Amino acid sequence: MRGEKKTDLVQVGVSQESREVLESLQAAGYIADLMDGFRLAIATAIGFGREPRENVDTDRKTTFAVGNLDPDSALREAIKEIYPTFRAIPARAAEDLAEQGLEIAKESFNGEDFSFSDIIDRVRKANA
Amino acid sequence: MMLLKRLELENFGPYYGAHHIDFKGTSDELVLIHGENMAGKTSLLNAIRWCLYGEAKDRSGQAMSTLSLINQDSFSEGAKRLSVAVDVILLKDGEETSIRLRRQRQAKADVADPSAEKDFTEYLEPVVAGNILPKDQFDDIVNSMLPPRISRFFLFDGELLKEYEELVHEDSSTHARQVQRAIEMILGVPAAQNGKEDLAELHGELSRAYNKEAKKHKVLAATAEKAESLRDEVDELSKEQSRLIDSQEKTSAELRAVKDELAKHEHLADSARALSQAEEKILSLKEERALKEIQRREFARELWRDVLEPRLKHEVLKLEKERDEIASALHERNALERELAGLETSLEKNQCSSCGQPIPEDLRLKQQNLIQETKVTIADLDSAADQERQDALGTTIKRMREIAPAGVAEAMVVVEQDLTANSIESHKAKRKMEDAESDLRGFDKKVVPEFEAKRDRLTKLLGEIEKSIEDVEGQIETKRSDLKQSERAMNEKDEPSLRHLKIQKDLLEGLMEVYDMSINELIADLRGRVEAQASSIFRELTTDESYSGLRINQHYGLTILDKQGNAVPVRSAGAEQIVALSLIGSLNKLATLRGPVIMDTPFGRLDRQHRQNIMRFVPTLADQVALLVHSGEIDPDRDLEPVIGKISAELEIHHSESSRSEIRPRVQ
Repeated sequence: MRGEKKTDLVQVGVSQESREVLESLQAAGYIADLMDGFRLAIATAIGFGREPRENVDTDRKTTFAVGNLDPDSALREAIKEIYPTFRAIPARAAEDLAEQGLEIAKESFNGEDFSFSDIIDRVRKANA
Repeated sequence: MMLLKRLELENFGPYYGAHHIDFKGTSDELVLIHGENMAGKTSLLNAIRWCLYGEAKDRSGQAMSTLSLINQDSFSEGAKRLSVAVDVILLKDGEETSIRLRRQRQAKADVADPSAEKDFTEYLEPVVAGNILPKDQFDDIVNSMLPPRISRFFLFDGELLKEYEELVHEDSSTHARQVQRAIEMILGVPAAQNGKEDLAELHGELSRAYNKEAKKHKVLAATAEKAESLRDEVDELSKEQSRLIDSQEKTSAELRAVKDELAKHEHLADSARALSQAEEKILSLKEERALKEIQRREFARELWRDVLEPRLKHEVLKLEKERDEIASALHERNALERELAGLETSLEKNQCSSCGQPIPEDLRLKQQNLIQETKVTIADLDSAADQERQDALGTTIKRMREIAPAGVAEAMVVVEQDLTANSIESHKAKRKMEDAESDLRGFDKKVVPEFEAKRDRLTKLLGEIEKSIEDVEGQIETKRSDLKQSERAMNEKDEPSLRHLKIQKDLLEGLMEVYDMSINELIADLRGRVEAQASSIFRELTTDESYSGLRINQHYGLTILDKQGNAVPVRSAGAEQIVALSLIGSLNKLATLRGPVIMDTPFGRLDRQHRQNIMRFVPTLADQVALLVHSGEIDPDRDLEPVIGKISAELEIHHSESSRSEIRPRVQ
């Protein structure tokens, strides 16, 4: 597996488009820090049953140090266990999952319609 | 009796250009004029008022300016004038006289853009029996025909109801007393009062002559001097009393106008309160929202754990299932391995593991086959019974379980529900604020306090005037009593040269007493007749069988009585209207002056049965009746049933644009 051959990231980033989503959420008062949104986006993608993509060609700017993003490694542990093929590169998987999670958020965040409750509800239904 | 013959309007209110209504001018005429709200029904009533009295009033009783009366379209097109002519027939002592009264106001020649009353000139044209009379006779003709004070009983709209409500209160206001005087006027009381006043004047002259003569006699001179002085004082006090009564009436009218203005502004005061409440609400909702948003951001920080939880649970369940399957396979393999070992040992020792006897050859063969089959089964189980995988799964499950949820999801849902509710509330409050702001646009906030100050000042002034009137009346009473004493003292001297004057004076005093008694009896009699007549009409009009009639009070206020003759304390707006119509009906039947009745929107607060009762009664209300009605208060197909065959004409006010209404025959 090509992913396993890579080394894992110590910093993760988001695409410009996803950064705009994060900034919109922050500007609208939904999140205090961009990192809160980034973390939630990873969880959302996982909750929605998305799979991390390999070799996605994006122009992601480095934004967050993995140590700050996941200080108790809980996210990485979850990724390792849920996506065993990414066991060696959970941060890379997290980065792509965040991207996918922010795409979901962007769909919801049309105007002022964004709702955490909706995400909670949809994740629960997806895993029922 | 006065009957309307024709009404002509030019550029009056919504009537652009020239319009007219022709009446039959007979004593059995019922005309219906249909018009929607704002079409110009009240303008017709106002046109007649304006022509006769030079003043039209708006709904709050305020006099309307000439500018507000001129048709706006014609004004902007340069026709800066309006006129109304009323043609009537006056039937008096069997003689019929045609009268035409025309009033016109137009901008002065040197005023291009009139903006105030001073910019207009008024033309009056009184024509009696085809002869144009001097304009200063206009008011005299109107006063002899339909004095302004009693016009309210002929040109009738909702205003009367408001005035009438004041009549039912025993502690009646000055205004109610004015209405009372108007009622007595229409009933002819002033004729008797004028007679008494004439006698009083004669008596005064005689008394002066008597005093003058008495002063010539030494024994009477001092008393006569005193009597003359007292009479002068009574005259002065009477003048003061008249002045005060005038002032009381003016102040009372002014106070009413101010109260009406305040009532008009009450709505704006309500809007100002609503605006302030909405602003406070918005502020409080904003603060609440800010707190909720902080909570939401705090929950959002940890929410990822709760969002992850369902997937982790799902995964854990999957892994646990796999682990259980491995455990089951391991368990089965162990059991088979034990069984295999037993079979192999037994075969090797050729001894049955159960009974210890040698194994027969056929069974040995079977046992060898079974060993072979067991080995195959064990080999099959090898992939499923992966102990290493089971250990790894245990670790994974343990780790997944260690990723604990934050437990904020439910709280987040509640916060978001609160925020949605906050948003709806905020939206509602904003709408209320916008409505209030719209109501208040252009509203000068100083107006209400100014009117309130004026109201308070006028109320105080009215109180002072009423107190002064009481004082003056008290003083007049005392002076009159003193005067009587002085006159009695002079009479006791029995001076022969004064006898003749004394006889005349006594005669006049006796006559005045007779007049006093007669007037009181007349008023009591009239009041009784009004009560009986109004009760009879009321019983005809009301649909409530528990009502037996009406009781009249000192001020001609009417109280509804039940079957037991007890007063009904609370009455609806509809009942109020029926009572008012009963009073008007009775006054018209008992009046010394008879004229046409024009009623604006008479059915507003009534149900169908009452409308039909009134329709049945209307033709008997006066010799000539015109009803101004709108479709919301009358259903022509059903409500007009009682007057089928009695309607002389049906007209319709067609309203095409805001400043253009037309009067046409109504098309059925």
